[in-house]
Amino acid sequence: MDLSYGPEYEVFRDELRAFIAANRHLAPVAGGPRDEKARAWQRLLITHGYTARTIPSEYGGAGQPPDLLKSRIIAEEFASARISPGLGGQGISMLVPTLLEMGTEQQKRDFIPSTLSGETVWCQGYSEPGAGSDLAALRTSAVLKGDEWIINGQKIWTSTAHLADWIFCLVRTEPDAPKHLGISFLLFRMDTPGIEIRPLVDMTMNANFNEVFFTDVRVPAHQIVGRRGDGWKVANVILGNERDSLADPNIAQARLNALVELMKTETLDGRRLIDQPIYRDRLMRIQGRVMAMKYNELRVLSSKLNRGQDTALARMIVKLQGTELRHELEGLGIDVMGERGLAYGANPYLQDAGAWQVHYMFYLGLIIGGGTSQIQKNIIAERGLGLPREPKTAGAA
Amino acid sequence: MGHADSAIRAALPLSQAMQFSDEQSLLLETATAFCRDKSPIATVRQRMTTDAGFDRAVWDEMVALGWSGMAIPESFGGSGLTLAELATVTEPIGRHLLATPLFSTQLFVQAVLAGANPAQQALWLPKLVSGAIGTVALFEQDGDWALDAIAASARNEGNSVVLAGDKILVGDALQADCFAVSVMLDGAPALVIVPAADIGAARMRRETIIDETRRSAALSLDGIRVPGSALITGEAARKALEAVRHAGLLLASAEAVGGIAGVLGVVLEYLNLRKTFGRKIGSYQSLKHTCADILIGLERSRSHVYHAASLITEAAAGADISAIDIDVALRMAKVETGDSFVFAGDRAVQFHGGFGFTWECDAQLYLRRALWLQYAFGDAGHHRRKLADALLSPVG
Repeated sequence: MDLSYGPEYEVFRDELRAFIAANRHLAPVAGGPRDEKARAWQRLLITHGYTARTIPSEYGGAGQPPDLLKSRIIAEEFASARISPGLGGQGISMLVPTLLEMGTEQQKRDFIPSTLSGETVWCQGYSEPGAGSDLAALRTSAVLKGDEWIINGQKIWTSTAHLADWIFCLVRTEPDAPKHLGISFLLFRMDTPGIEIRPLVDMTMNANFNEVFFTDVRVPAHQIVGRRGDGWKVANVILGNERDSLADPNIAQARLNALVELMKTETLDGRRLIDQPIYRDRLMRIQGRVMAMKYNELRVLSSKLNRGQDTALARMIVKLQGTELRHELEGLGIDVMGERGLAYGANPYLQDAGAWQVHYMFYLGLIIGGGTSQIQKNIIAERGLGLPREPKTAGAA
Repeated sequence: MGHADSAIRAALPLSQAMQFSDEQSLLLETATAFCRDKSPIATVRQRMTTDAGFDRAVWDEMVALGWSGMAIPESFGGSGLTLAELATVTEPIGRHLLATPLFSTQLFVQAVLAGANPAQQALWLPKLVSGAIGTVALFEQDGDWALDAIAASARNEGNSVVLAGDKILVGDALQADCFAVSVMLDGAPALVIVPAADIGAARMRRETIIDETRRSAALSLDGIRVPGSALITGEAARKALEAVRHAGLLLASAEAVGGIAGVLGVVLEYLNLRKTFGRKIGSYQSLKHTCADILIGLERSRSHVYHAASLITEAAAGADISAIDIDVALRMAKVETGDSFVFAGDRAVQFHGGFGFTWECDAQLYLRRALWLQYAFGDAGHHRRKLADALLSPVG
């Protein structure tokens, strides 16, 4: 794809391509372990301003002025070169932006540098067995005793809890307040006594998320972000970031290109799938949607750059569309493979290391996580289109 | 250009700016207010019952606003803008179901701009700036959406050209002052510019079509005789047909974007009003989620149309954008807008319940326009087939 943003940006793109060509042998496997290779790559990218770009240098970032087009070029080039764009995870993508906006100076200095460098790994303590789509119904309690919070309760679907050093966690501190106003946002170490982690195996057969149990976990009182009862507000700063990062059209385009390659090798009735009208039609249906996402993003960008129009609605649909589109795209990959689409795991005739099957299922998880598609549609309809809320049922807060 | 490992063959260029210029923003504001003012729904219905189908006084005002000459160079009295600006004013026309010969006329304008010789341009373009109505006669009963699949013919007779064959779906034909007619001449597609007087009303028969806010006619070409100077042939004809097709794709898409916004407004108003089982029907998730789907279709449609329009603007300003790139962007826009508008119109009828099935319900007006637009210049299946040919390796 030719992604032209104008001459000054093409210089930047050329520099980046040269950097990738010269250094790609240093890149770790995307999504691989946070070993020294991954941390060294992260340091290199920060030095060149290709990750943590706009985070002030006193907090360990690259300290560059915000430039949305440069950020997009970086995302595009790393996606099309299929190499790691640096460390991700919930600490970097969610907590850091939140601390930058809502944290104290001390919290920024304490947590942002070590998070960016990969030394501190975070997990997110939000969902509970009784609080998923209705997250504000969460019940894990924190009671202030002296200069410590005493935490009791349970979290679920906690990704990477078993790898994390710290957790950012929503807890109920004001049990008598209305549900959205009774929540606080705490930070604490995962090796604090009283925390028990039990792995949950997901449908892809990975055990990436967990149940986390808290029994009289004691946390210093100052490890709160924002004020008591402000946790819902603090959490919403992060949820916006999560939604944006789940659906990158550049990655969708790279997967679509891989799908085209697959369709050139697979045959049905003696003809390549890429030559068969039904499959070509399905491919073009998805291509149109991928480009729509790309153009939506450009519209959001240009209005941010130019006019400050309200683009809230266009943003709300990013997560919803992007995750469902990827699910459909990966599903077409399974269709295309025919019998081999049924292989999984250690099967010797597994194609592409099972990427199509795993992504197909993994994206079901993303369609659910971070606000299900159905909840997103409620929000779009109620906040975006002004449709009436559902009447509260008896007993709901 | 693409990377070596890119599997999609043709480039899919991104517009550099994809934003409204100040001029376009002002244009959109003016056009939105104008269409709202001139096309309230009761007036839409009243105009549907007239022969012309549109209000000549409103057309005169649009001409005075400069819309008819918008894409015509200043040297002919126009504003020297592009199709992108026309798309900007077409969006509110769709939103308010405004009946107007602007679409037909601009297709004629594009044919003349792209293919006609200087004498023909000097003859027609100033008239079009000052309000003459033009149209194109391209489609035939057995044709497909390929504009060069033509059965109608022309043959030279001395200094004249004599036409034969039939055309259908000639927009605003009974009101038009001038026609661009596609024919085969010596085995190749050609266009003939024909004044209305040389056709005559007897050769036209009004067609009843699915969108009652539009007018079109079938045309018998047999025996029409025009001077040889009216011909556009060879490469000029090919360019003219492509320009008409591009304009048709962009303006139909822009009109559909407006239409989705319009019909969504109709639905939301009803869903906030109508009650069943003691609550507003808009509070039910099955309806609410579908409205979100309509909105998503609208956003996708708008993004595709704005992007295609931006590419056209940049190409007109001299940027290095190929005809294929523009073709791809326009076809994608047409696929998305056509299907999304029909979905929105279809659901709008459904959500009005029994009333939705009646002639009185405004949702059906949008659905009928959506169906017309979905097929104008090719439906989604046709364009996905063409897109696959353009973007993937040829069928081997």
